This record gives sequence, C-alpha cells and structure tokens, in this order.
Amino acid sequence: MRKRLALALALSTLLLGMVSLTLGPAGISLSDTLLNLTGRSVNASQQYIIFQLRLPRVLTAILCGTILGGAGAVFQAVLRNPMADPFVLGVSAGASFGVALSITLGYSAFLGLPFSALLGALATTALIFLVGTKHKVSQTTLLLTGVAANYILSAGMTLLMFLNHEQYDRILFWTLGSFTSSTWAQVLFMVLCVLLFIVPMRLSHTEMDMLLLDEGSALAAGLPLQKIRIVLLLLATFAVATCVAFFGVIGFIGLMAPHMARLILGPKHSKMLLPTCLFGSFLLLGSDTLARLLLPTGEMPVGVITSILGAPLFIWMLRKGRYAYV
Amino acid sequence: MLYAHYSKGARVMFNRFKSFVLILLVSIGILAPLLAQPLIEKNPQEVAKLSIVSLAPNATETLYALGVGDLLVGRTDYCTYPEEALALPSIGTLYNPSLEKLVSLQPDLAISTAFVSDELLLALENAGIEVLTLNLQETFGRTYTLIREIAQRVNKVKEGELIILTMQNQVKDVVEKARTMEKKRVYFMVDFGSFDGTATGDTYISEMLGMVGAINIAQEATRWTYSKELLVANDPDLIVMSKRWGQTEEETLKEFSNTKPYSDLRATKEGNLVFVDSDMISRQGPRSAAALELLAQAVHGDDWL
Repeated sequence: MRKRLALALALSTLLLGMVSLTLGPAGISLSDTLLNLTGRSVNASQQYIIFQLRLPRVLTAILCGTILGGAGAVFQAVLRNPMADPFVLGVSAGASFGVALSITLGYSAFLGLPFSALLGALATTALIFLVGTKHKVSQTTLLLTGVAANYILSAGMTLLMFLNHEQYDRILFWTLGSFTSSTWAQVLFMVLCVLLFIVPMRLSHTEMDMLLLDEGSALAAGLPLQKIRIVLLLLATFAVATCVAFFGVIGFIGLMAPHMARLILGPKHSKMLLPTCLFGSFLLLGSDTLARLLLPTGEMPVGVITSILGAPLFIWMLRKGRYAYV
Repeated sequence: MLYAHYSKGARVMFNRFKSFVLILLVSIGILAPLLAQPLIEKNPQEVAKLSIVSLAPNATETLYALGVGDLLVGRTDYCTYPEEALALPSIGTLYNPSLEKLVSLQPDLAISTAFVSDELLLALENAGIEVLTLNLQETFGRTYTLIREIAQRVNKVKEGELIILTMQNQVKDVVEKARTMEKKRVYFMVDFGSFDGTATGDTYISEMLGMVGAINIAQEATRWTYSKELLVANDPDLIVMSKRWGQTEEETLKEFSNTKPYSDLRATKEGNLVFVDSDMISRQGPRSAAALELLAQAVHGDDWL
C-alpha cells in the first residue's frame, strides 16, 4: 500500500511538473516544450523560459513542498498536537518578520536573508517550544499561543510596511510567498536543505512514534526525549526558515500533507513520512502552477492559493474535533 | 467600607456627586479645545494671502513654476523639487501624512493629486481647509489640465497658459523628431526581483514611450505588473531603468545585471540599459515636456543629438 501510494504520488508529481513546464504567460505549446526538453528547439528565448525560469521554479516548488510537509509532521509529533504546523504556530511568520526587519533596517546584505529568517523563526520556535512542551499543556493552549504569535508578528509586519511604504511591495512578497524568482542556485541550496532535514527525520521515525506516546513509555524505552525533540524541531525550523527566506510564507502545506498521508496510511511514522513529503510536493507544485495561470499577464502569490485550499481543511478538522491523530 | 459610618442616603448622594464631577471633568476635557480654537486667530497680514499645503510633488512643482511658491506653507517628504521647497516643513509621506501637523500649519487650501486617502481629505474639509483634488494621471494630455486648474485657483491663468503653450511646443518638436527615428522595443523597468513592475499599457508613461517612438513591450499588460516569462519572450532592445528607492543608479544597475533572469537578457548583455530621472517622468507637471525629451534621448541615445 505504502509503496504503491508513494510511487503513484511520485509519478503524479512528475507528470504535474511536466504539465507545469508547458503552462505560463509566455504561451509555449506542448510540442514546443517537448522539442525544448529534447534539446531540438532553435528558439533561444523559449529554451531560456523553460530551462531558466520554469524548471527551477518547478523544482523549488517540489523541494519546498517536501520540506513544508515534513516540517508539519515533525511539529505535530514533537508538540504532540495534530494541528501543529510551522505556519499555524507562527514560525513562518517569525521568519518573514526577520527578513522584513533586515530589509527595513538595511542589514539584509550584511546578515543575508536566510540567516535573518532563521533568527526570526528560531525565536518563535523557542516560544512555542517553551509553551508546548510544558507538562500537561492542552492542545488548545498551544494553538492559541500560535495564534497570538501570528498576531504579534503580523502587527510587526504591518508596522514595517507602514513605516516603509517604498519597500511595501518587497515586504509584502514575504507575507504571501512566490516561486517566481527561483534560480538554479536556490535549487541547489534547497536540495542540500532537503538532505539535511529529511534524512535525519526519516531515520528518527521510531523516536517520532515514541514522542506521540506518553512521556513514561518513551522514557521506559530508553529515549532521551528532550534532546530528540530539540534536534528535530531545530532541523525543521532551519528548513522552514530557508524556504521562507527564498520564497516567502506559504501556509497550510504542513497541515494538509501529513493529514492526507495519515488518513491513508495511519499514524506510524515509518509509513507516513515519505508519502507526507510527496503529498507536500504535489500540493505545492499544483498550487504554484495555478498561481502562474490564474492571472493573464501577472502572477498570483502562491501562499494565497495554499491558504484557500488549506484553511477550510483546518476548520473542518477543528469542527470534526480531530484533535487526535487519525 | 470606607463610608460605612455615613447613612445610606448620604452614601448615594456622595456617589452621585462623584459621577457628576467625573462627567464635568470629561466635558471640560472635550469642550476646552473647541472653545479655545477662535483664540488662535491668524495674523492680519497672513489672512490676505492664500496659504497652501501641497500634498503632491507635482502640485509643488506647478506652484513654483507659476511663480507662487511663496504661498506654500507645507509640503510632503516627496516634494523635493525645486530646491527651495526643501526649506518648507513637511507633513510626512503621501501615504501616512500627519493630519495634526497639516492643520497646525493653518493653510487655507490643500492641493492633492493622488495617493492621499479620502478619509484624510474629508478630515481636512471638516477642519475648514479647502481641498483641491486633481486625480488626472491617466493620460499625458491631462498634465495641461492639472496646470490649468492650479493656475486658475491661484489666479495665475496667464502664467499657466504660457507654461502650457511652451510645453506643447516642446512636446510637438519631440514627437515630430521621434517620428523620423527607428522604432525600438523598450521595457520600462519600475521594479524587479520578487515583483516585476513596469509601465503597462494603461499608464501614461506607456503613452510617453509611444510619443518618443518606442514600442512598449508591456503594452498588453495592465496595472503596473509584468511577468519574467513575458520579459524574456519579448526580448526588448533597450531597458529604461529608474533607480530603486534608497539606492544609487550604480547600485541598482549592479543588482539588476547580477540577478537572473535580467542578467541574461539581450539588452543587459549588450549594455542597453539607460537610466532616466524617474521623478521627472512620474510627476505630471511643468517638467513633463522636458521629461519627454529626456525619455526620447534615453531611448534613441546618440541618434537623438
């Protein structure tokens, strides 16, 4: 079941990637795309659009989806809360605030956007961690802390945009997310990020299962709980911060992907982690393709689309009382 | 209880008295500024002369060109031309000006062209300040309307018509000369990077490009936005650049030519990136004809001279 699902997902993502390569405002036909991909095209600008604009974009969307989906699974396991996700808990907002602050104060060149994002994200994660891993903290408390963190950070973002109207468009970008300026350099960086995050995550699937049990059983199994929690959370935060630094805040993938995987495969991490990443890739690639198509000459922010897809799911889960793992 | 030794009736009386004092204090707080207002009357010599706060850089430029710059008592942060204007107190940016500061300058008239919120304009009218709103930036021709309206309001009709006539002559010369020149396919860069901004077909800058004999590759697009794919596909001969906020031209040029996909455009590789004074082009006013000529020079290069 798991292998077949993973294969189906990987193939669908690949197919969607191919379709995505032929779609966009420049209007390159399917046959022209195939000519370009097989290296038999003579049209230089078409070649450039496909290989330098669309292909990096498709790849970064896939890699970013992997990270966001995986990060969602990690947050849910570490905080023992099925509704947890870096977006819902304000970690993404923290990263984007870090970026916006560095643009506004003008130290972005000095620190670099990814590092500024990381600082913002780490601060938020630390807050969530302190609240979320306290003994007997209710799931609602954690979510509400996330809501509060999001409020504070979005107020901060609004303030920065207000004070710095000339940079409004640039700052707004970080709050909405977009893959429009993806480059091959970013693809490479994201591949590294995926390796650094997904491999350790996959390796610690037993520990993640244990984290879902009560502290007693995990300790009985001889697991140094707190250390694993911190390492996993740090890795996820680092990966998400990189995504935000490059592509802005993209919400709800970390919520949708793990739940889809769990619905089909159950909660065991050895089974659901990779499909989660694949679901994340597929969802984000699909959203980005839509973002490119919905407006004739401009672009729609991809974060808007993932939120439109993800927020209803979030509400449905809250209403259904799915506070437990499926 | 503190008042336990009073009778119940006395306590009620005392509480009523407290409420009364409170209401009185609050009313005084609200009414005092209203009552005090007539006391800050204007000086007699100032009353005779119209005093103006400009809420737009092009209105400021127009007033100076009409020779009535001395009527100005306030400006915005963006009103940077002519240099005399810099000596005036500023009320903030166009987006969040300070209403208090504006009112404290006690102008008779405020002139706004765009970006200023309706709420602010309403608040100004409520404060008894006349507001002249000239939202005319759809076409190049409306520049003359703007100058004419301001000229009429400050009783400088003759000076206004003279400026308009001079401008129209200069524009006619530029358009006629441009007609004889080779047409170039041009991209007018407003912003780049995460968001691609350009003078799309629905803007008057696009109209200006047409007047100087350029073909705007973003003619079909609308609302100042463009996509990287179309920029690459349409492959402009020339890119007209304006420097980014807070950067020098060199810094913008460096960033643009080191960022993909701009670094790979034919125009970038061949060094066909020219800067224009974006303030002059974006402000519809008395300098617009000169701006048109500058744009023509930028587009045609040495051929123009």
